[in-house]
Amino acid sequence: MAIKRTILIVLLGGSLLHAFTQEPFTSGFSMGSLGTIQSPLMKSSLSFASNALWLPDSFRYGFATSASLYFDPMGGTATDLISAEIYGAFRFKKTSCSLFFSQFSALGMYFENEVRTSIGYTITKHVALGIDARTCFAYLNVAPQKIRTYAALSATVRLASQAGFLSGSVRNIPIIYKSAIAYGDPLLLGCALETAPYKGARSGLLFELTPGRHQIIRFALAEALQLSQNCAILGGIGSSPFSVSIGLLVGTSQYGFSVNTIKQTDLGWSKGVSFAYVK
Amino acid sequence: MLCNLNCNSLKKTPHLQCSLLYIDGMNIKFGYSFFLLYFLGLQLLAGALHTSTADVRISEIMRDPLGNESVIGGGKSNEFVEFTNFGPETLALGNLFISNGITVDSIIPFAAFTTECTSCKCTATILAPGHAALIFDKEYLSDQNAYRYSLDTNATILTVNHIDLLGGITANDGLFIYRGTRSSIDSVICTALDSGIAPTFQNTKLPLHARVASREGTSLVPDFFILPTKNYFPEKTKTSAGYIDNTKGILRFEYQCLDTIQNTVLCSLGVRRFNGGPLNTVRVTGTSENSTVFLVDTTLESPAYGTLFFCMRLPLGINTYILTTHSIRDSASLFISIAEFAQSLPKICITTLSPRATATSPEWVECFNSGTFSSNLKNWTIGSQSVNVPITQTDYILEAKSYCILTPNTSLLRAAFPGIPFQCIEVANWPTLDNYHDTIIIANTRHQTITTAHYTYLWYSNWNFQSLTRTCVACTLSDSVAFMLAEHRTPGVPEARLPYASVTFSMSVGPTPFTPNKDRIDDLLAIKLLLPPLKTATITIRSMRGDNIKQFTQCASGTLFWDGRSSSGSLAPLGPFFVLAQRDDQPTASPLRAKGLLWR
Repeated sequence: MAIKRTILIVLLGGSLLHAFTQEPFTSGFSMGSLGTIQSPLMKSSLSFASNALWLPDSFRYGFATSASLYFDPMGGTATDLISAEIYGAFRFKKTSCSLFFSQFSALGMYFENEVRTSIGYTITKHVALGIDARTCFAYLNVAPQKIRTYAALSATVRLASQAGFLSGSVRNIPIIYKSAIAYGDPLLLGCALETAPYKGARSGLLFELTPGRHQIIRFALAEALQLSQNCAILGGIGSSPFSVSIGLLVGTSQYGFSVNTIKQTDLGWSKGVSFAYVK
Repeated sequence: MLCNLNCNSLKKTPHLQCSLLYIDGMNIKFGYSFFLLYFLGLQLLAGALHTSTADVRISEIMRDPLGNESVIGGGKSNEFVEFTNFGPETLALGNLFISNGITVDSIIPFAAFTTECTSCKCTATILAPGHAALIFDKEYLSDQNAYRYSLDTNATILTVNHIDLLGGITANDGLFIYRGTRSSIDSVICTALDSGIAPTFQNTKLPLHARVASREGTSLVPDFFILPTKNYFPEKTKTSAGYIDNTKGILRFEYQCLDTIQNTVLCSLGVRRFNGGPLNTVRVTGTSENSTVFLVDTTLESPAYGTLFFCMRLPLGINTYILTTHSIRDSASLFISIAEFAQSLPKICITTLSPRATATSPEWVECFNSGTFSSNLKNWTIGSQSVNVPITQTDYILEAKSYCILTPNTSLLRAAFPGIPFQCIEVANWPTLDNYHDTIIIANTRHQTITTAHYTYLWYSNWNFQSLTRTCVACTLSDSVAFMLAEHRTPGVPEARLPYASVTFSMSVGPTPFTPNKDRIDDLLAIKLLLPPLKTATITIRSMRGDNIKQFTQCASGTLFWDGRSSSGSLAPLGPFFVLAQRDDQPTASPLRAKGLLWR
């Protein structure tokens, strides 16, 4: 029974999914914390890069959208690595569901669309599980008939206590993957620690293990500071590659808005904006 | 037996030969009914035109006319497709279809076009050899005030059964013309599709990518007609609806190699006439100041269809070549440009010069042959625009990848640089170089400038008696960084990093997208790096996610190639990637960065 439950926990779970297969960091409201702080600082700050299990109990339904510009202009070309995301979610009793769509465009010729759905279920006050399924399609506009497809599952378990959250995830379990074209994400094991708010501040620590990557281990550390009931700032620092992030979050009980930026040593600044409406 | 008889009796009809041989290939025995064969023969005769094997090519496509795409009289209605019958047989126009893989249109005569062009063949049912047919959108005539193409008055005008030609031709759409039905292809007449794409019906449009990006209002034409081609380029000058560019069908050179002993270029020549009937005579003459040389003078025993190939030697001393053909109907002449030979000629470059002589060291100029051919410097000249003198009047072969030193006094030069082995030519009547500023030109026997060098003392501080060494091959004469003061005077010895040295650190990356799928097209990413002399850099290829996929260390100026694999040999991920170049002597400076795109 215990084994079955363990398997269930592994297979059913939420994850900190990427918006496209190679996204260097999470987008949306958690971009300023490098994806480390997932639980909403305010009800309206939907962290839609994460699984629906992170939606608070008071949440009924909501929508969010975001856009990101990646890295500095280089080689005389404009900043032309762009992604845009739309997200919708609802919660019914102990179950929360979300649907996510994103499009990524590179150099005006490479396009990648992703559709993702996630389901989160709060088993007890202390345990929540989630599962994500995602499908990505990539194509070049000069040869739109050649579509590359990738699909994967992810799972996470979240443990909650008065001190905060501890979550573990298995991401990118491939369903459709062709090694001959190398399109898709490598399997990733993640573990995150997020403290409960203390004097308006909250900390997050992320540890990721990706056996298929050149740099197998990645850390990220972030801090969120609630300046007022409607305003918070986030800052983070991460490795592989070295990144520094900062974000500003403004919101009411229904509307949320954030601007975020991330600096990577060699590639420069990335920018992101997000907007959310919740009920 | 009967088949063979039929073939012999109809040998002037190549199509029927093929058809009958095909029947023979089906092992139809003589014992079968004579009437059956007779009936089949009649069928073949009757259907000869309909199943013709005429050599038809799509010779022009207007996919993006001037004007708004949705406006009649502009992009929506001015699209056209031109196909030309290059073969000797007549093509029947009945029962033809045009398709882009999804949409199928029936090709029909455009009778209403007679109001636009009275001399055009608007109700023709055949396309004669050497003639072109245009398939217009039905709405081409809808707006009387709209832009009209200048048409060949003999063109055959066609349209399709639908309002829009192929539902509107968009960028990168390929197409093909076939005979059959809307759902089946009996025989493909001609195609304009990317290499490797078969003319079939499917769920997506078949592609045809122009080899060079075209702008609005520019049609696509094949690079030549003489052989089948998949390469379509934007028409350089204007649309030529109904006209055929003779130069694309009459001539094609394939250069083979340079014979430095006889000073000739061995090459093959392809000749074809498509609107003058079969060829009788082909003649290539070269004229120089003093003489005329017959390079090809062939009278054929029987008139020839198709492409004729000749092998010949083109002497380098000839200024002009003329190709003359005689066919059954007419004659044609064409001047042959030999500008393309420049690419085959030796690439000789002044790499170092020492204009400031001393009592123990004369002036000298170092030349390097970076081409793949050796060259005879006999009767080449060195000097300025106004004064030049022969380098040597005896044979002197400068081998590929070799240096030679030009100087007025070889013995003094060798004494000044003992122990340095170098090839040397003593130039009589040496044009003394100015100590402060001068321009040096080396020209070949045809007075074509081969290499130049320019310098002025204002560009160099502390210039005493150092030689000037080239740092930039592509720089212009007025570019102050083309030459720099050499650290050591080393005639005939490569300078550090020459000829790639540059004073600016730059990088370019291509192609985009880069497709390492072993189809021999864009399989390698070229990373072109320019660095100052003696400097190196580390090139890192990084994925979007931040992984270091591949690293090249201690790279000097030059071009690196990446095969799309990581350092461990695994495939690099699909999608965008970054190329970072960090100078090794400036590890804290920002690296040069470039984006790329990998696709499989």
